[in-house]
Amino acid sequence: MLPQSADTQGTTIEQQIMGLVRTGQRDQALRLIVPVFKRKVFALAFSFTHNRDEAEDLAQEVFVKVWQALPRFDGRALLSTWIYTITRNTSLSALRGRRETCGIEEAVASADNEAEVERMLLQRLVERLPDRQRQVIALFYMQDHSHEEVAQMLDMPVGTVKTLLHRARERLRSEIGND
Amino acid sequence: MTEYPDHLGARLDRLFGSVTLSPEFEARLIARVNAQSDAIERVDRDYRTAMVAASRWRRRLLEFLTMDVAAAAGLLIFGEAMVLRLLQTLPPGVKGSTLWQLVAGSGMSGLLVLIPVAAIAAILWPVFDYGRSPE
Repeated sequence: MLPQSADTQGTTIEQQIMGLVRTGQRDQALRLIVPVFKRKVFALAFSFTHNRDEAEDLAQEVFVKVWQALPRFDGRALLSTWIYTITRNTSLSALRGRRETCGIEEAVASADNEAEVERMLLQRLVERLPDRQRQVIALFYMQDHSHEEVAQMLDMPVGTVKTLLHRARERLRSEIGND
Repeated sequence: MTEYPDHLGARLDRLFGSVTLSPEFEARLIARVNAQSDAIERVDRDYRTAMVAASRWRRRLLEFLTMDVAAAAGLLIFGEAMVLRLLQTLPPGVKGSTLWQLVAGSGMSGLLVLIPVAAIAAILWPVFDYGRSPE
Protein backbone atom coordinates (compact mmCIF):
# COMPACT_ATOMS: atom_id res chain seq x y z
CA MET A 1 0.00 0.00 0.00
CA LEU A 2 1.38 3.43 -0.91
CA PRO A 3 1.92 5.82 1.99
CA GLN A 4 -0.33 8.49 0.43
CA SER A 5 -3.28 6.15 -0.03
CA ALA A 6 -2.72 4.82 3.48
CA ASP A 7 -2.93 8.37 4.83
CA THR A 8 -6.06 9.17 2.84
CA GLN A 9 -7.71 5.96 3.94
CA GLY A 10 -6.48 6.49 7.50
CA THR A 11 -8.02 9.97 7.68
CA THR A 12 -11.38 8.78 6.41
CA ILE A 13 -11.42 5.84 8.75
CA GLU A 14 -10.38 8.12 11.58
CA GLN A 15 -13.35 10.42 10.98
CA GLN A 16 -15.75 7.48 10.76
CA ILE A 17 -14.29 6.00 13.93
CA MET A 18 -14.53 9.28 15.85
CA GLY A 19 -18.18 9.47 14.80
CA LEU A 20 -18.84 5.95 16.06
CA VAL A 21 -16.92 6.54 19.31
CA ARG A 22 -18.92 9.72 20.00
CA THR A 23 -22.16 7.78 19.64
CA GLY A 24 -20.88 4.97 21.86
CA GLN A 25 -20.60 2.39 19.05
CA ARG A 26 -17.15 1.08 19.87
CA ASP A 27 -17.83 -2.44 18.60
CA GLN A 28 -18.59 -1.04 15.16
CA ALA A 29 -15.53 1.23 15.43
CA LEU A 30 -13.36 -1.81 16.14
CA ARG A 31 -14.80 -3.60 13.12
CA LEU A 32 -13.57 -0.69 11.00
CA ILE A 33 -10.16 -0.55 12.66
CA VAL A 34 -9.19 -4.22 12.56
CA PRO A 35 -9.12 -4.81 8.78
CA VAL A 36 -7.03 -1.67 8.24
CA PHE A 37 -4.55 -2.16 11.06
CA LYS A 38 -4.35 -5.90 11.75
CA ARG A 39 -1.42 -6.56 9.43
CA LYS A 40 0.49 -3.48 10.64
CA VAL A 41 -0.10 -4.23 14.32
CA PHE A 42 0.94 -7.84 13.77
CA ALA A 43 4.09 -6.75 11.89
CA LEU A 44 5.01 -4.28 14.60
CA ALA A 45 4.48 -6.89 17.32
CA PHE A 46 6.49 -9.40 15.25
CA SER A 47 9.35 -6.88 14.92
CA PHE A 48 9.63 -7.05 18.71
CA THR A 49 9.06 -10.73 19.34
CA HIS A 50 10.25 -12.42 16.12
CA ASN A 51 7.80 -15.13 16.97
CA ARG A 52 4.68 -15.46 14.80
CA ASP A 53 2.36 -16.98 17.38
CA GLU A 54 3.41 -14.59 20.09
CA ALA A 55 3.02 -11.64 17.71
CA GLU A 56 -0.49 -12.78 16.81
CA ASP A 57 -1.43 -13.09 20.49
CA LEU A 58 0.00 -9.64 21.10
CA ALA A 59 -1.97 -8.24 18.16
CA GLN A 60 -5.13 -9.69 19.70
CA GLU A 61 -4.26 -8.11 23.02
CA VAL A 62 -3.58 -4.77 21.34
CA PHE A 63 -6.98 -4.70 19.65
CA VAL A 64 -8.74 -5.61 22.89
CA LYS A 65 -6.89 -2.72 24.56
CA VAL A 66 -7.85 -0.44 21.67
CA TRP A 67 -11.49 -1.50 22.05
CA GLN A 68 -11.36 -0.85 25.80
CA ALA A 69 -9.68 2.53 25.39
CA LEU A 70 -11.72 3.76 22.40
CA PRO A 71 -14.14 5.83 24.52
CA ARG A 72 -11.10 7.76 25.80
CA PHE A 73 -9.62 8.34 22.32
CA ASP A 74 -10.11 12.06 21.74
CA GLY A 75 -8.62 12.32 18.26
CA ARG A 76 -5.82 14.67 19.29
CA ALA A 77 -3.24 12.16 18.01
CA LEU A 78 -3.61 10.24 14.76
CA LEU A 79 -5.46 6.98 15.25
CA SER A 80 -2.55 5.10 13.69
CA THR A 81 -0.05 6.78 16.04
CA TRP A 82 -2.25 5.90 19.01
CA ILE A 83 -2.59 2.26 17.93
CA TYR A 84 1.15 1.91 17.24
CA THR A 85 1.93 3.35 20.68
CA ILE A 86 -0.34 0.77 22.30
CA THR A 87 1.32 -1.93 20.21
CA ARG A 88 4.85 -0.87 21.15
CA ASN A 89 3.97 -0.64 24.85
CA THR A 90 2.18 -4.01 24.82
CA SER A 91 5.08 -5.66 22.98
CA LEU A 92 7.68 -4.18 25.32
CA SER A 93 5.68 -5.35 28.34
CA ALA A 94 5.51 -8.84 26.86
CA LEU A 95 9.24 -8.83 26.17
CA ARG A 96 10.10 -7.81 29.71
CA GLY A 97 11.29 -10.81 31.60
CA ARG A 98 11.71 -12.99 28.55
CA ARG A 99 14.41 -13.04 25.88
CA GLU A 100 15.23 -15.38 23.06
CA THR A 101 12.78 -18.23 22.89
CA CYS A 102 13.10 -19.17 19.26
CA GLY A 103 15.06 -22.39 19.31
CA ILE A 104 16.26 -21.72 15.78
CA GLU A 105 19.07 -24.26 16.01
CA GLU A 106 16.57 -27.06 16.49
CA ALA A 107 14.46 -25.69 13.67
CA VAL A 108 17.46 -25.63 11.31
CA ALA A 109 18.35 -29.17 12.28
CA SER A 110 14.84 -30.36 11.54
CA ALA A 111 14.47 -28.49 8.21
CA ASP A 112 13.99 -30.99 5.41
CA ASN A 113 15.11 -29.12 2.29
CA GLU A 114 17.83 -26.70 1.20
CA ALA A 115 15.51 -23.71 0.75
CA GLU A 116 14.14 -24.22 4.22
CA VAL A 117 17.66 -24.50 5.66
CA GLU A 118 18.70 -21.26 3.92
CA ARG A 119 15.59 -19.53 5.17
CA MET A 120 16.31 -20.67 8.71
CA LEU A 121 19.95 -19.56 8.46
CA LEU A 122 18.90 -16.14 7.22
CA GLN A 123 16.41 -15.94 10.06
CA ARG A 124 19.18 -16.78 12.50
CA LEU A 125 21.37 -14.02 11.04
CA VAL A 126 18.49 -11.55 11.31
CA GLU A 127 17.97 -12.53 14.92
CA ARG A 128 21.63 -11.79 15.65
CA LEU A 129 21.20 -8.19 14.50
CA PRO A 130 21.02 -5.44 17.13
CA ASP A 131 17.43 -4.87 18.33
CA ARG A 132 16.68 -1.69 16.37
CA GLN A 133 18.21 -2.98 13.12
CA ARG A 134 16.26 -6.22 13.49
CA GLN A 135 13.03 -4.33 14.07
CA VAL A 136 13.55 -2.05 11.09
CA ILE A 137 14.46 -4.84 8.71
CA ALA A 138 11.47 -6.96 9.73
CA LEU A 139 9.03 -4.09 9.43
CA PHE A 140 10.49 -2.84 6.15
CA TYR A 141 10.07 -6.21 4.46
CA MET A 142 6.68 -6.83 6.05
CA GLN A 143 5.36 -3.35 5.28
CA ASP A 144 5.83 -3.12 1.52
CA HIS A 145 9.25 -1.45 1.70
CA SER A 146 7.89 1.82 3.06
CA HIS A 147 10.45 3.81 5.05
CA GLU A 148 7.76 6.31 6.09
CA GLU A 149 5.42 3.63 7.39
CA VAL A 150 8.23 1.98 9.36
CA ALA A 151 9.27 5.37 10.77
CA GLN A 152 5.72 6.10 11.92
CA MET A 153 5.28 2.65 13.43
CA LEU A 154 8.53 2.82 15.39
CA ASP A 155 8.17 6.53 16.16
CA MET A 156 11.56 7.42 14.73
CA PRO A 157 12.78 9.73 11.94
CA VAL A 158 12.78 8.39 8.37
CA GLY A 159 16.51 9.10 8.17
CA THR A 160 17.16 6.87 11.16
CA VAL A 161 15.12 4.09 9.56
CA LYS A 162 17.17 4.34 6.36
CA THR A 163 20.44 4.32 8.29
CA LEU A 164 19.43 1.32 10.41
CA LEU A 165 18.22 -0.52 7.33
CA HIS A 166 21.45 0.16 5.48
CA ARG A 167 23.53 -1.04 8.44
CA ALA A 168 21.39 -4.13 8.85
CA ARG A 169 21.76 -5.07 5.17
CA GLU A 170 25.49 -4.46 5.25
CA ARG A 171 25.83 -6.60 8.33
CA LEU A 172 23.74 -9.39 6.83
CA ARG A 173 25.77 -9.31 3.60
CA SER A 174 28.96 -9.48 5.59
CA GLU A 175 27.67 -12.33 7.78
CA ILE A 176 26.44 -14.25 4.76
CA GLY A 177 29.81 -13.75 3.08
CA ASN A 178 31.52 -15.21 6.15
CA ASP A 179 29.09 -18.09 6.45
CA MET B 1 25.35 -19.63 -0.77
CA THR B 2 27.20 -17.18 -3.03
CA GLU B 3 23.90 -15.89 -4.42
CA TYR B 4 22.89 -14.61 -0.97
CA PRO B 5 24.39 -11.09 -1.15
CA ASP B 6 22.88 -10.31 -4.56
CA HIS B 7 19.49 -11.65 -3.65
CA LEU B 8 19.40 -10.51 -0.07
CA GLY B 9 16.35 -8.31 -0.63
CA ALA B 10 14.44 -11.10 -2.34
CA ARG B 11 15.34 -13.55 0.41
CA LEU B 12 14.30 -11.12 3.11
CA ASP B 13 11.05 -10.57 1.22
CA ARG B 14 10.44 -14.31 1.20
CA LEU B 15 11.46 -14.66 4.85
CA PHE B 16 9.16 -11.95 6.15
CA GLY B 17 6.50 -12.45 3.49
CA SER B 18 5.90 -15.91 4.92
CA VAL B 19 5.07 -14.42 8.32
CA THR B 20 1.34 -13.92 8.07
CA LEU B 21 -1.66 -13.71 10.31
CA SER B 22 -3.82 -16.78 10.61
CA PRO B 23 -7.08 -16.54 8.62
CA GLU B 24 -9.19 -16.84 11.77
CA PHE B 25 -7.47 -13.89 13.47
CA GLU B 26 -10.38 -11.50 13.02
CA ALA B 27 -13.03 -14.02 14.04
CA ARG B 28 -11.02 -14.95 17.12
CA LEU B 29 -10.64 -11.29 18.03
CA ILE B 30 -14.33 -10.52 17.60
CA ALA B 31 -15.21 -13.54 19.75
CA ARG B 32 -12.78 -12.35 22.42
CA VAL B 33 -14.16 -8.81 22.36
CA ASN B 34 -17.74 -10.11 22.48
CA ALA B 35 -16.87 -12.27 25.47
CA GLN B 36 -15.32 -9.29 27.24
CA SER B 37 -18.27 -7.11 26.29
CA ASP B 38 -20.71 -9.69 27.70
CA ALA B 39 -18.65 -10.00 30.88
CA ILE B 40 -18.58 -6.21 31.35
CA GLU B 41 -22.32 -6.02 30.68
CA ARG B 42 -22.96 -8.82 33.17
CA VAL B 43 -20.82 -7.16 35.87
CA ASP B 44 -22.53 -3.84 35.18
CA ARG B 45 -25.98 -5.43 35.37
CA ASP B 46 -25.07 -7.26 38.60
CA TYR B 47 -23.73 -4.04 40.09
CA ARG B 48 -26.88 -2.11 39.20
CA THR B 49 -29.07 -4.90 40.61
CA ALA B 50 -27.02 -4.95 43.83
CA MET B 51 -27.25 -1.17 44.12
CA VAL B 52 -31.03 -1.20 43.65
CA ALA B 53 -31.34 -3.96 46.28
CA ALA B 54 -29.09 -2.07 48.69
CA SER B 55 -31.03 1.12 48.13
CA ARG B 56 -34.34 -0.67 48.73
CA TRP B 57 -32.97 -2.34 51.84
CA ARG B 58 -31.64 0.99 53.16
CA ARG B 59 -34.96 2.73 52.52
CA ARG B 60 -36.80 -0.02 54.41
CA LEU B 61 -34.33 0.18 57.27
CA LEU B 62 -34.70 3.94 57.44
CA GLU B 63 -38.49 3.67 57.38
CA PHE B 64 -38.32 1.10 60.14
CA LEU B 65 -35.89 3.20 62.17
CA THR B 66 -38.00 6.31 61.66
CA MET B 67 -41.08 4.50 62.96
CA ASP B 68 -39.05 2.99 65.76
CA VAL B 69 -37.58 6.32 66.80
CA ALA B 70 -41.00 7.99 66.50
CA ALA B 71 -42.46 5.38 68.81
CA ALA B 72 -39.58 5.81 71.29
CA ALA B 73 -39.96 9.60 71.17
CA GLY B 74 -43.71 9.28 71.75
CA LEU B 75 -43.03 7.07 74.75
CA LEU B 76 -40.45 9.52 76.09
CA ILE B 77 -42.85 12.43 75.75
CA PHE B 78 -45.58 10.41 77.41
CA GLY B 79 -43.15 9.36 80.16
CA GLU B 80 -42.03 12.92 80.68
CA ALA B 81 -45.64 14.12 80.94
CA MET B 82 -46.28 11.41 83.51
CA VAL B 83 -43.19 12.40 85.52
CA LEU B 84 -44.21 16.06 85.47
CA ARG B 85 -47.71 15.14 86.58
CA LEU B 86 -46.26 12.95 89.33
CA LEU B 87 -44.02 15.78 90.50
CA GLN B 88 -47.09 18.01 90.84
CA THR B 89 -48.65 15.52 93.21
CA LEU B 90 -45.67 15.33 95.57
CA PRO B 91 -46.37 16.39 99.14
CA PRO B 92 -45.27 19.93 100.04
CA GLY B 93 -42.74 18.45 102.47
CA VAL B 94 -40.84 16.80 99.67
CA LYS B 95 -40.96 19.90 97.49
CA GLY B 96 -39.48 21.95 100.29
CA SER B 97 -36.70 19.46 101.05
CA THR B 98 -33.02 20.05 100.30
CA LEU B 99 -32.99 17.19 97.78
CA TRP B 100 -35.82 18.77 95.78
CA GLN B 101 -34.03 22.11 95.82
CA LEU B 102 -30.87 20.40 94.51
CA VAL B 103 -32.74 18.60 91.71
CA ALA B 104 -34.65 21.72 90.69
CA GLY B 105 -31.49 23.85 90.86
CA SER B 106 -29.37 21.42 88.76
CA GLY B 107 -31.54 22.02 85.71
CA MET B 108 -33.81 19.01 85.90
CA SER B 109 -36.53 20.98 84.18
CA GLY B 110 -34.11 21.98 81.39
CA LEU B 111 -33.20 18.31 80.88
CA LEU B 112 -36.87 17.39 80.66
CA VAL B 113 -37.32 20.01 77.93
CA LEU B 114 -34.33 18.65 76.00
CA ILE B 115 -35.81 15.15 75.79
CA PRO B 116 -38.60 15.95 73.30
CA VAL B 117 -36.21 18.17 71.28
CA ALA B 118 -33.74 15.27 70.99
CA ALA B 119 -36.59 12.93 70.07
CA ILE B 120 -37.79 15.22 67.27
CA ALA B 121 -34.20 15.59 66.00
CA ALA B 122 -33.85 11.78 66.03
CA ILE B 123 -37.07 11.45 64.02
CA LEU B 124 -35.97 13.99 61.45
CA TRP B 125 -32.33 12.78 61.15
CA PRO B 126 -32.96 9.87 58.74
CA VAL B 127 -35.08 12.09 56.52
CA PHE B 128 -32.25 14.61 56.08
CA ASP B 129 -29.52 11.99 56.00
CA TYR B 130 -31.27 9.92 53.32
CA GLY B 131 -30.97 12.68 50.74
CA ARG B 132 -27.20 13.01 51.35
CA SER B 133 -26.32 9.35 51.41
CA PRO B 134 -24.40 7.96 48.37
CA GLU B 135 -26.46 5.66 46.17
